[in-house]
Amino acid sequence: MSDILSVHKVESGYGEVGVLHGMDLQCRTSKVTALVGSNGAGKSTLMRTIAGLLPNTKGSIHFDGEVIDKLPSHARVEKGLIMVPEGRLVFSDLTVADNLRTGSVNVRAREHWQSTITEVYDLFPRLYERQRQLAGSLSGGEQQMLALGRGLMGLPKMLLLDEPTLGLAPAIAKQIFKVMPALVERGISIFLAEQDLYRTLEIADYAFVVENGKIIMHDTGKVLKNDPKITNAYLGDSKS
Amino acid sequence: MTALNGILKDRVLLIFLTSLVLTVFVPDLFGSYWAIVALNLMMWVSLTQSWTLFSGMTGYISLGHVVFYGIGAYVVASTFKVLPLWVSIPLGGVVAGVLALLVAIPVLRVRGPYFVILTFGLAELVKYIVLNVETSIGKSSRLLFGAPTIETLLYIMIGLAVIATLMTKLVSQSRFGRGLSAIRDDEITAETVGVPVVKYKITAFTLSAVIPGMVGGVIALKSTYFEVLQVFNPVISFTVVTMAIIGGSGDVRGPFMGAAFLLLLSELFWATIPQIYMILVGLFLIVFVVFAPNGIAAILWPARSRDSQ
Repeated sequence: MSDILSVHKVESGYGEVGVLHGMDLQCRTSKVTALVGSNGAGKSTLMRTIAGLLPNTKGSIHFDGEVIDKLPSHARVEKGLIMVPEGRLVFSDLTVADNLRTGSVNVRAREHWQSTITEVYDLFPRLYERQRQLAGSLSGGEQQMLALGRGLMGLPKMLLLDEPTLGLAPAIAKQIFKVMPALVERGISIFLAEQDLYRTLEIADYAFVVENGKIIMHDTGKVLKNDPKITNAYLGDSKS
Repeated sequence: MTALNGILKDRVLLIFLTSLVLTVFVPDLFGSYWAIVALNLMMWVSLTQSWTLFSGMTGYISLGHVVFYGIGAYVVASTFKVLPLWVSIPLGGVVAGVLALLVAIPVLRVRGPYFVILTFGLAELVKYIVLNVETSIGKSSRLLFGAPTIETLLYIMIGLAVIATLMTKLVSQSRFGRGLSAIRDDEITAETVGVPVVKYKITAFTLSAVIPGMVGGVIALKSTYFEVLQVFNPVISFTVVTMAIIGGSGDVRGPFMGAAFLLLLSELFWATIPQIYMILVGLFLIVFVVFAPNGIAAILWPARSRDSQ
């Protein structure tokens, strides 16, 4: 099995402030790879760097057999590398249906939007019910579904999910996690950054633990889940 | 040409453009005083429409748009009698566009209040550079003898107002314009769905500078002299922003309503009670921002304004 994404010695940050100090990781094709770590460890920074919202100052990023780290963000979207940003960023003045359509503006996905939108509605019936409603009037969980659905509208080969359950009620977070295996079944690879350690390791085929901008451990989700170092000492309580 | 078809079917736009064009009869019907008023109105319409193309659509508020106007005026004034006007006026537009393109790359890296301050500072910087260049070559101001008549300038300005309106309308209805609106709503989200944000912002900024460059040239000819502090006056930038806010930038008629409203106000009060005029403008600005943030256009034509946003 091959790696769809590989990050090699990547350094990145904001202006003079370095956040990532030589990140190394690989994501398998059609698997869920997780990135776990505490607040401020560099999860979002890595996600943004992979998506092209931040430039990497050193190292390289390969996606689907190509070097992509010099490409602008929209070119990465064209290649099928799509990020769902943290904080449920939806266009609040547009309807649910229009928000979804914005996800398919890239050339590869444009023609197929009608069939894709039915698939998205199948995955999230709630969005189908609310398709004519303004996105701003949705609940937090629905907005997250919408952001995820919008990502799918771009026909991703890989989805970068940055904290998709942040601030959501546990029941809704559960729904979001439940969708992921269905996506993997469709051949989509997922790279998931999360703070919800227990559920994340449960679902992840492989996981990387990040601390201070570096990978400090990596193993299969199962192994890490049972590693006392992780569950107790490092990431604190994980009962939820 | 679906875009062209869309325009031919857009009755509101066609009526609006026709009424702009009909101002060609103002000098004959109402005399030269009103010709100048019409010229001023067309100037503000052109400037405000152009400003809307970038700032209205992206939400990046430029407080330095006068720099393009000033540079265009400078091009026309400094090449007066050297180049024919049909070359120098468009050249003013081109130079303004190139200036915008050059400054866009660093300036568009910052957002929000930083962008506002930077555009303002940049306009002031260019103003003093031009002032120093002029002083060092011994020109405190330039007189432009033998400029075209007010009527001729009015016709040119009407043309510019029509072009500016069409440009803004075409852009707002295109994929490019949708991308700009996405940037205004949420730039990061826009980027993650695949809008080429950097390219779009630079293109829009450049486009929005071209018409003001030409307008500046025409206005220099109207006043028949060129004085740096006057054509780079930051109040021009403020006025454009005020007009866009009062008129509303979600509808093609918004910038016109804003320009007409402020001009009417100034015609009524500027000569009689100049002390009160600026206070009134300030009051209206506050009232509009608080109670009608989408401007006159959104009050008069609510549904349509929302559509075109």
